[in-house]
Amino acid sequence: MSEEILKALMQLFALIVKQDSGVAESERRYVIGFLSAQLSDEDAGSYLALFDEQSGIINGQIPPKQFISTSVIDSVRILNICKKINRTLTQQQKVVVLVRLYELLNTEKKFTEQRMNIINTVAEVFRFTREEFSDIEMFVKVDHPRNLNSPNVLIFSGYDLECQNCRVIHAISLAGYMVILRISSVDLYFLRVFNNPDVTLNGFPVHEQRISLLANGSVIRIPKGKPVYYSDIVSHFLADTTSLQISYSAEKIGYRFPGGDYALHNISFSEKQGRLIGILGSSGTGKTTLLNILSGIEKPSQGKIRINGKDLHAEKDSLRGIIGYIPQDDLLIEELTVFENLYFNAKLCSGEKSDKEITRLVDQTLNNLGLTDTKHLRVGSLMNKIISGGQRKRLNIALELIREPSIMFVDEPTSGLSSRDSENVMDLLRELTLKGKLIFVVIHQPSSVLFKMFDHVLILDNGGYMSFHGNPIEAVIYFKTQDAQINRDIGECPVCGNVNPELIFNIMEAQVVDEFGRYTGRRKVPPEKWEEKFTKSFSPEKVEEVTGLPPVSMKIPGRIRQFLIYLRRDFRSKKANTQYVALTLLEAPLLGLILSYLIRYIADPNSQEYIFRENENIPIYIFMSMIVALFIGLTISAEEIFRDRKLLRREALLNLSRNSYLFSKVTLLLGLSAFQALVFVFIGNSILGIREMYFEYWLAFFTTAAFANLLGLNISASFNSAITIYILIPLLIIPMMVLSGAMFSFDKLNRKLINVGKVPVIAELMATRWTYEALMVHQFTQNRYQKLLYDAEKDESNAYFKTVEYLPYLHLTLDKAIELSNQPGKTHEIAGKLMLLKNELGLEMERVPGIAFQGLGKLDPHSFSADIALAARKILNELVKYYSELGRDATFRKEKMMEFYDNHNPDLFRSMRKDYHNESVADIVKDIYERYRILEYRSRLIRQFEPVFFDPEPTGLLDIRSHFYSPRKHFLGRYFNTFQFNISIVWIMTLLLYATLYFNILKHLTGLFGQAAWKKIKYAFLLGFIKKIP
Amino acid sequence: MGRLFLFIALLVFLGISCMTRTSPSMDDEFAFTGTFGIVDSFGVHQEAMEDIIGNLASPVEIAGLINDIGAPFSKDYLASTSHLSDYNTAFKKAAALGIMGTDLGYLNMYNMSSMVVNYLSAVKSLADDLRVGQFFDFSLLKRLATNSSNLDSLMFMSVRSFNQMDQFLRDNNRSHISSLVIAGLWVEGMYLATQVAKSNPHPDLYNRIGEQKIVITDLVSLLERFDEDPKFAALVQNLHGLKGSFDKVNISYELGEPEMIEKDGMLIFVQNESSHVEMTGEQLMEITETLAKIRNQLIGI
Repeated sequence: MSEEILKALMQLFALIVKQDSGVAESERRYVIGFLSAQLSDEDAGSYLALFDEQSGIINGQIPPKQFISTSVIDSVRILNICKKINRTLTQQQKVVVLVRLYELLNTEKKFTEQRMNIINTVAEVFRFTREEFSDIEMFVKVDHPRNLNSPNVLIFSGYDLECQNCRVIHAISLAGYMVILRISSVDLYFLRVFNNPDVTLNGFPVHEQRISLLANGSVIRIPKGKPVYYSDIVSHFLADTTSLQISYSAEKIGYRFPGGDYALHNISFSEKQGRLIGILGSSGTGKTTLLNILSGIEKPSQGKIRINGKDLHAEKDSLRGIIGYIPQDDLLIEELTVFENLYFNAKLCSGEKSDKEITRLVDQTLNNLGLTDTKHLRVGSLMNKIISGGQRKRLNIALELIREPSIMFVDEPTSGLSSRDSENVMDLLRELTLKGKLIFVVIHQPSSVLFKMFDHVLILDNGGYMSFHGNPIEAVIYFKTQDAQINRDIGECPVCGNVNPELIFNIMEAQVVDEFGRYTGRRKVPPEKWEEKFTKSFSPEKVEEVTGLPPVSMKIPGRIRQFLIYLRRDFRSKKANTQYVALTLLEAPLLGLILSYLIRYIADPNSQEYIFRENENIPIYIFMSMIVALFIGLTISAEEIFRDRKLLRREALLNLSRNSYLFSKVTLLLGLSAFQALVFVFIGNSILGIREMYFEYWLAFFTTAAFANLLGLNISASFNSAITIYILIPLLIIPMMVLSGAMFSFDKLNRKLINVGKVPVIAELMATRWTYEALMVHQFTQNRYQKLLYDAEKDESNAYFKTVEYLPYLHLTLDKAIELSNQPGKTHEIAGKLMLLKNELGLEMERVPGIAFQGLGKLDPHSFSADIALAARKILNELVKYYSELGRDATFRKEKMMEFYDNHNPDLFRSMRKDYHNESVADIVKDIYERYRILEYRSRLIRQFEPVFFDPEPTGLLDIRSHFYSPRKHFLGRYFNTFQFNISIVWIMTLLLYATLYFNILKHLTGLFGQAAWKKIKYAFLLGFIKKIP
Repeated sequence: MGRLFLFIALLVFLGISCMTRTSPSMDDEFAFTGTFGIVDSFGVHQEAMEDIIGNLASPVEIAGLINDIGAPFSKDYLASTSHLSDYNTAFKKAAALGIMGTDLGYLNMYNMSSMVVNYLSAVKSLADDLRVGQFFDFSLLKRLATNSSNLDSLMFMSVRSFNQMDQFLRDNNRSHISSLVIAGLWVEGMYLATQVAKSNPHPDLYNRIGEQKIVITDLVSLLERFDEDPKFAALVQNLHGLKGSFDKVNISYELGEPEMIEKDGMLIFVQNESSHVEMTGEQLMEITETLAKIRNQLIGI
């Protein structure tokens, strides 16, 4: 009690007793008694002096009695004091003041009109309800419990007692009455005894005259009977104020770590609604593990937990929404304001509520938690604090609170908080239990105040043994008793009311001392022993099992609404981070600008005119664009899910849709990527003079970025630290750069990887290979200039290849075969040559209609003869003729067209080539630098000449593979334009990545791999070890 | 879940398939309205062609002559390669191929290997464009061209390449291309000779220029076969103009003693004949100017 209150109280006391007939001796004695209970003698003296002065007592002499009517001055003073009290005292303290005033009057039973007037005034100024006021009045004035009449009164009676309206509990062992009054608005409990039942409150005798305040965690001991705990009293009152009925029982919970060590042993207890339970223990005793098991996050190795008869782990679904879990870590989104954090959380939990309702609910919750002032502040990170630690914690609690779970689990709510903040947080939890909730709190080192707040404490000892479960003050007394200490019956400090929870641990963990007085490191009483002692001394509390489940106020919204909420939340949080917004918006245009500006090359040293056709850097631009897309895509997504992992863990408890969450991420990222692609391509293509293909470039860029987004999301969901994620990025990007086909030619890689005439399998997995090819082929074939000539040039190229490379090669092969057939012992070589001829001629038969070669089957060393050779030559000549004609047609067509355009508008034609066609792109897709235009490989001829002019020849319906830069792709018997096809492939890859993301496949894989690898190493080591032994 | 993925996959595929814009088709101006009727064989006889080729001073020969008279190298004589990509038609490309070929010979003669590469790649790109690249072994050409001591091989190579190419083109009814290549070769050779003659008057050079009076007649008759094509017609007309200038040049022949030489194991008689060219400075000037006009027209855009 502060000096301020005490002063105010003395003044009030004095003013009241001074009224009408003046102060009575017994009243003064009450004041002296009151003061000595609160203060040391010296201090008490000075306050008594104040009282005396105010009430007109001189030197302890009470002046002769005379009737004095209340003076105006006194009235004004009373009002002033009350107002002052109003400003400084909490409602709870005011109740205490009022009770004390009544008590004072009660000493002389002088309830005169004047005195009552004053008390009424006080009550009015203090804004008590009439009901509470009359309850207090009755409670103080009544001379026998039977005359009580209020639902806020609870009577423990040793005798039969009839009492209207109030609750009566028969306690046979009680030699009198204990009356408890509840002031529901402030949740205070007062105790008064009748008939001297000889009870103690927290180890102090309770006097009949005195009204005692029941502090949190108090114990009332009855000489012969079971003690009465504060929580029992509370639950009696709550029994009908709340409809919430919870029975929570843990039965022989045991837990083993994956490594095999026991973390928890045989923990059994029962609890019910309206209780605040503290789980205490030194570090490493398994508190958090226990909390995780109790909350259903982890499965126990043994035993089960039943909530209202339902098995928590087996029937998880039916208990959904009942359990709330507040981890030690922050679950806040740093970029959002306090309000927004709570708002989005609330939206995700309450599907049926309207925006308005939710806003009201959030405001109300913030108000309840004293966070209204910080409502519009950003939460900020732990490093960059904007709101205080206590406020953060409260907000964290609010996140769970707002959906009103019936049972809550809170991990270390006070860690890192000042004692003031700790108390606030715990008060908050305490209040919740008053609404009937059951709350488990893991707490490391509670202060006396916090310790006393618990209804029950569960004390864990090393190795996960439960060494105590029950009332906190009882715990102190129990351990003191076990340690045979003096004053063992007294739980709290008689003067200050403190309890010392440290004491428990000191006793529990006391070590054996050796003869030199040094600690031996050996426990006096090992954990198992403490557990044994506890089970011997206490019989477990029986909690009746409740049937039916507590109501669930939460109702999660539908998937689409969840998606929209997630989307809004994500968008808001991104928007709030100005650095992020600025960078992501500027990154793409800047890169586009830098890249395109740097490579805007004018080939002619004497010219100032930029000519697109001559810019040798266009292929590099295309390649770099894809790499930029990959980079940007990966970096904006690589931390997305990782950052939310704590949130996700919590949201998983809420059974929110993972799809909605992922979809929101994907939507936002793709939106961003689409935007970045747009600016990048717009700037880059404009500067480099790439005309008309904005859409295709955009699509290719966007597709690559989208793929990278999904890839990034996958890794961000699978790895456990930011650094591993960033280490992984180059590991992903570099192969995609190398195997994109732009940096290294696919046929100049390691032999083991090459597929002659096809893109290597490993490269097929790279998104960049598809998008780069798509753009290169598109840029070459679809530009305005090439489009005019492409078909003719394609035919020309194909015929040219056949007449110039392919058929001459076959001719030579035939010649060689004939030559070899004249030499003995060359069967193997002949077989090779003939096989090639057979294969290729066979294919030609299919390709060229109307040409048939009967001797195809005879192209083997045994049936090969001069006739066959002649026939083959004839066929080859026919083929030459056929292709020459084709080639001639194509060339004529092309030349005609060129003539036509030249006649028509030579400058336009020329400028089209200048502005739309790029030589370097053409050189690359035509592979003009390839030395071997034809390659013999496994008795087949592989064309390496002008890849962009020939279509792949599929081996089956599903064969989608082709050489690089092929103009069309095959699938299901149809040919598709390479651009469309490639883009589709990447989108399908992206969808697959979504699937792996959804099912968290990568995470499972890394997990599996990690375990398997570790096991292998272990076994390998063991085996090696065993082998060495003999 | 699986079905959802399949559905989305389909959507994506369809979406992309439909999305490919039907780009605003060619400017109406560029809708091809010509026909692809194959030009029939122009009926050039192989012998006639070979005749011309035989009489034509090969680029290497002209270059050799210019070198022999001690004329200094000047790159101003060379055709610029920078318009290469502006040649729209096979006509232009074929003529340019001949011209660049001669320039390559000239460069080679003066050991200008740094510039050789440029002309080699010009020749290569033109030949590839005309789809006759197979007749030029560029790696070999490059090796030879950067080493003037291989002059004979180079000459042999170029003549052989040309003959093969011509054969091929003829087989494919494209002898107009080879005719144009020849025209290019000749025009550029003459151009070089006349330009050098301007500053380095030398009787050998005069003779060589004057002698072309005979060749031009063959060349005109070769090209005349294609003068249905307006471009050919224009070229032929220009050459007719040049022929007119040459007509003024007088060539007298002197018969020498017949000589007996052994060829292919047989003894044959060869009538040694020496020609004498009478050409005035004005005539040369006229020829030089007309030639420059024709040549610049061929390499111009």
